[in-house]
Amino acid sequence: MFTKLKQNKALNFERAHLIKGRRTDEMFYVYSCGSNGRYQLGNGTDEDLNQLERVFETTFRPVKVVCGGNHTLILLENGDLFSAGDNTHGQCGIVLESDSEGDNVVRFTQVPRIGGVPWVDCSAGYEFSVFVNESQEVYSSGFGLKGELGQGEKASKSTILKKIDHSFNSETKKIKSCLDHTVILLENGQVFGWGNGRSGKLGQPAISKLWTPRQIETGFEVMNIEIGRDFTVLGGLDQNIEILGKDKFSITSQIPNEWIDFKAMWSSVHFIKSNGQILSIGNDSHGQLTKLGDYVKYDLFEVGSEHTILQIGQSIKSWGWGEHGNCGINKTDSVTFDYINEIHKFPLNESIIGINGGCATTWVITQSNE
Amino acid sequence: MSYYDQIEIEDMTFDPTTQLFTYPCPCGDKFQVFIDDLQDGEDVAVCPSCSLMIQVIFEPEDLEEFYEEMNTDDLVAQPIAA
Repeated sequence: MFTKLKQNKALNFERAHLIKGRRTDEMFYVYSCGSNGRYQLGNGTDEDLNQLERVFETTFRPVKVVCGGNHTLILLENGDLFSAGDNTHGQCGIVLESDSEGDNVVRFTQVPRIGGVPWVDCSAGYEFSVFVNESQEVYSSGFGLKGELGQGEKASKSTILKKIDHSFNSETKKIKSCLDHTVILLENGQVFGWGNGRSGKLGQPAISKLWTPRQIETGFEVMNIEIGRDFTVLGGLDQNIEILGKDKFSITSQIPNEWIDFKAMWSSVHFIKSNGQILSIGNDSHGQLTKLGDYVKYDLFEVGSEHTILQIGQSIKSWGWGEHGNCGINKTDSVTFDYINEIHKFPLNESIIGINGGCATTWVITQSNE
Repeated sequence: MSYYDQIEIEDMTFDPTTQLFTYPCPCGDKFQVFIDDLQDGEDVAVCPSCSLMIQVIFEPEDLEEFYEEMNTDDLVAQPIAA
């Protein structure tokens, strides 16, 4: 089922330089910094980085970077998928060659397509990954004792990609995984979830191990989903918001009347108002909540497990818990960045087209303008 | 001492072999504390890879079932010789 990796690498190289038979000069780059104990930054080392390093380049636009506990997936617009990091349980979706570095994928390596079908979406949980292909088939791999794989009763480990036996009758609009649960929003507004549902974060009845996808009943049409460690946030039209699960930081009681988007760290939710203002609610143990005040002239705002990533023009900034270099070089001796720190300023010949955060990692996608 | 978070013992994973309760840390590693330390009144689990700490929320009687789990495992592992 899996092509030999070396063959894959050669193929990628070939593909990277040919689009429909012609060479292209358009180049995209992925940069990362932060926690790197299992090679999850994909730069070939296991040293943490406090400055962004270019770790991947491609002629196809990267559309998504998602991060598990110690692994990372990069999805390209042509349906190719790459991964790096901890592959102990197969969570990178790759069968390693015997000469590889332990159980780690040290540089971004292609996740084989199944039946040649392009990947269209993916998510990463703590020690597992979920993959969606163009045929709306959902696969998973990795490890989870609480139903994280969605592959059925007591299926807690899968070192190769296995199909989740559920027919989703609409295209995937968004999929998110956190610590031990996954939620998928379909284009028809239906929401499904699986994994650890003990606290009700996968709806009612609250079941500690949901081994297969179960529909989450909602009182309104869901337009957006985000998930944290202990909760699931469902957002709909007319400012409808529902938070499922444990609300230990009383987020529900502080939801703003007006918002257009929201993002979830592991233990906080950040609402973006129509004027761009950010309202943060939740755990502020390490400066996670917004430092922007009324400032709204940023371009992109994303969150990691417990830190923020911000794009302002050519600049990448951050605040929150930055112990592993994920918020850049610290100006104090504290692991808490309770100020807005500039991680990097890109030269004008590179445009920032995407940012994201993982478990104490920071990711930037750029496009070369040359 | 400031904790990253407070976590209920029910949400942690117990391994009878290592005698450790663990819980994922946002750095990618795991907070850990020995069951005996909890028994001795300690309530902090630490991460070996970073400075974060969590406070474990539990009652002493919560530990009983986990000690039983350890003893059951011992019996399986070391059958009494006839």
